[in-house]
Amino acid sequence: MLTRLSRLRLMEQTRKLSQRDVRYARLEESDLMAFESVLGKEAVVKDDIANYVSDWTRQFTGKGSVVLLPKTAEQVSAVLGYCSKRKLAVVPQAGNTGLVGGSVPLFDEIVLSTKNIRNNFEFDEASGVLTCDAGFILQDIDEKLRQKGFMMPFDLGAKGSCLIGGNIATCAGGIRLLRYGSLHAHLLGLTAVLPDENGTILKLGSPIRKDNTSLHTHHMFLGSEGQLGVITSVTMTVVPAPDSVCSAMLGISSFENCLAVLKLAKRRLAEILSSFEFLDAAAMEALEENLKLAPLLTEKSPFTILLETSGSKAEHDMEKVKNFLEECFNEGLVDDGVMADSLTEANKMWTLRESCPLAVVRDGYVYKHDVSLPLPHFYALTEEMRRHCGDLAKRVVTYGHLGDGNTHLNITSSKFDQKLYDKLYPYLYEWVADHGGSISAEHGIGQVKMPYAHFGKQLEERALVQSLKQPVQIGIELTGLSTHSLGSHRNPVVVMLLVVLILLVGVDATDPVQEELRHPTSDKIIEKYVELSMNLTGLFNGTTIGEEALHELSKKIVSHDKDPAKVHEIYEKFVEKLPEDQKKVFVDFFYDKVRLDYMSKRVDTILGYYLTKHQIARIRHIMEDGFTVGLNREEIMKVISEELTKEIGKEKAEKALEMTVKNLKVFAKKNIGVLDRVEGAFNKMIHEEL
Amino acid sequence: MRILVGVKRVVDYAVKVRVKPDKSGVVTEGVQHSMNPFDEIALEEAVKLKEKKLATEVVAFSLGGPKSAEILRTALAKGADKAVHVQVSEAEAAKVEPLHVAQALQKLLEKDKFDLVFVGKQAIDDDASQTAPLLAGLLDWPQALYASKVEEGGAGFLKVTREIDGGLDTVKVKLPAVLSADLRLNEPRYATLPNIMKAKKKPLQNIPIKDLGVEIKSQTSILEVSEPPQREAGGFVEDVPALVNKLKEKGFVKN
Repeated sequence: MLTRLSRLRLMEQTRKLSQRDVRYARLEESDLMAFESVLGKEAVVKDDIANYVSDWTRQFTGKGSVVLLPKTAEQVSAVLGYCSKRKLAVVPQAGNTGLVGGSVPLFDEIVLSTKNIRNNFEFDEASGVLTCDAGFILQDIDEKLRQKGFMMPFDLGAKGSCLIGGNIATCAGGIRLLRYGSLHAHLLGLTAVLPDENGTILKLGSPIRKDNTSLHTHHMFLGSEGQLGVITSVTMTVVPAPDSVCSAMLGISSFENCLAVLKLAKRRLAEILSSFEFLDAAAMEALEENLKLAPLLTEKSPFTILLETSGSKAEHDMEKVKNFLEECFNEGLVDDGVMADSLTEANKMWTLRESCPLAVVRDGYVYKHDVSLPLPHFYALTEEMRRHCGDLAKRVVTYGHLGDGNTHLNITSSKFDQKLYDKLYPYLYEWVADHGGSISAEHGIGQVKMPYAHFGKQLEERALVQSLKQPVQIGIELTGLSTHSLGSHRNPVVVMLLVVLILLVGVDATDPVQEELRHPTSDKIIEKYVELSMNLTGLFNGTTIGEEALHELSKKIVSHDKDPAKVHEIYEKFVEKLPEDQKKVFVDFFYDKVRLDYMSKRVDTILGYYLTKHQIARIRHIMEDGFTVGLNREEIMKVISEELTKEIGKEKAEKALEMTVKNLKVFAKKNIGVLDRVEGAFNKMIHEEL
Repeated sequence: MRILVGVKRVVDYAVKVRVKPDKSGVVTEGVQHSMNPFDEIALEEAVKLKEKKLATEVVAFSLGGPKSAEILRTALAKGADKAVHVQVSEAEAAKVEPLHVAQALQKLLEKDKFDLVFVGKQAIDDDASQTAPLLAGLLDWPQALYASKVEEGGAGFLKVTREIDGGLDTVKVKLPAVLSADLRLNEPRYATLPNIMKAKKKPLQNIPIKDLGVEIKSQTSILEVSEPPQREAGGFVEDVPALVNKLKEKGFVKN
């Protein structure tokens, strides 16, 4: 069960995806001319950019209007330096084969494509180290290496289109992870360009196998999804191509047996085991119905395993595999099985597994997931979701890398269904987090998982990640999808929540915004302006009050925020100038807040006589939980008074509450309807948005 | 009816073959090998005939180096009852030609009676397509090559549909006969687990080539093996007059 704080963050992240950050500038003709002069006319593309601003599933389409195609790291550096100074948002894009919408613009960002950065390619056979530019296609690199008897240590369905730079930025997984490990095992170094005013070109790591002379900063880029910089060159180890590859498909009747076969495979096949893939009956059905790909086993088993071995001597490997298969059969672990006797047969088996994403897409609409779970819960997730979605889902298909505990649960419907969507999220991700899993095993966060990225993570971890991005964030953020920790006044719902919390209990005196007001610096003033501005625009989102007017108002307020009387005057003047219909709106929303703020300070003072800050915080938690389960004001007060009694004794508790309520009653009398209005709006928001 | 199926170990069909630097042949070291696809089809047809009760026994045969034993095990896993491996050394294996295979088969058939010899129409490494007709000639048996359908033809006969350039040719052959399998004859089965295990117990007989009295002496020698010329990139032309001009330029069209 998630805490209230977690839900609020969820809403904040979702909101961030729908609101363009006011800090970024808008693209102008002069910018396009500047790009053309640096990159050349043909590298600045404005027409036919559908494939750049949209991902391949067409689920995510941004409003970007220009695509830049630099050829060298120096060109990237010039572009990023320029954008940093101009405060233009940029989204780096490699092969655009991602599944979470992380490589396309959210709003009007410039798309910086790395696909033309492919000049250098060096491979040292003796050490098995490859250094190449980030724009090479994975399959092309693999083929070049195979001519020398080597191959890339990872393989995925998108190999014909994905670029190596993107693979590094997303820490691509794939079907061979079981054998060769993740990219962490292979990355030796990289060159990346930072989005600072100089477009700093960073050379991290080194081309030698063992180097412990510094923090392994290049590894930070693995899984960075374009947030830290644009990767322009990669140095990594590759592996010898196996001489003998053997594939087998097994039909298994229970999930326990699947795990038993995996355990046995790891022991008997040991160093030659290279893949252990999983398909359930629903996946095989989808393949047969939608793509006319018939199963290879004669019996229809509930689970199908596709395993592969890679070794250096065919006879040895075949003996191992045959003995292993015999053991599985004799132990009753498999119902049926087939071994591929030629590459053609093996390819047929892999076609089944690799066509799964295509098969599910043909059902109409797919809700895709990529989660990793402890093995005992691997299939329990599917069973739970099948039960939970009931008839709303057309098909619940599971395939994945069982060897790594990574399941691709795909739920389909004939078209997008909001009811099904609401049933699934955030329930599915909560379930995964509660069972010790990861909500994104390989695909990353991008847009899709942004609201849930904090599940199962400490606040301190979020803060650390945010601070690691700071050195890089001097001018602009690259994707705009950063990991903000929950600020105090960034969200109308948060404002409302705090207001009502304050109403009943009191506010924590160490208000971070208050702290800031005591130590202003020019950066802080800008931040405050932005905060207040976003706050106000958020608050009045959907009303007739314009953004520009609110920005102006914020500027004025922040300039005089030490002087409450002056601030009050500014507000009055602002309201005066508003047209009649907007005046009422402003007053209704905003003046309430001002009055409530005042009230909250009063309550705080009163309670401060009776409770410590720690106790106040505890009471707040109880209140959160009370709201979550839907208690009304009276019931919550009852719970709180019980708690208070425990903390400070009956007499003091009663006194504290009496004083608070008295003040509230006085307030309510003087400000008719305010409390009800605020609480009503708050409840409405909670029940609608959650 | 007893069927003898000839199978050959070749470089796997899906492998991207590379020419050796000295141009004496293609690289076979460390490259995936498997059963010749057309031989797989022949084997499948023989096993099908047995399942239809038209045949009583299917025996797989291969002439090759030590590694051919693997291919014979696969044949056993795919339905053959017995296997015969006429073994040569690795060095000799490189010199084996279709005539030697036909001669070895002829010698075997002297000792062991079969009603039908079934092989693939050609091997994908040499594309010779000679073993079946050579054998039929040596034995003076009827032959039906490039079979795309095999049916009962009455007692002691088979009705075979053949794929030829002009279309389909249906013949009736009197047994014993030699048949070769073409692509569309059937879809070979996979070796299932139970069959793989059963195959271990099926007999695989080893006969050194000397015992058959066949001498491996090449009649041909390979002069050079090279890659096909690289296909050059094409170009686009704007319209028909431009196309005609280009053709004239290249000399394909007279002025």
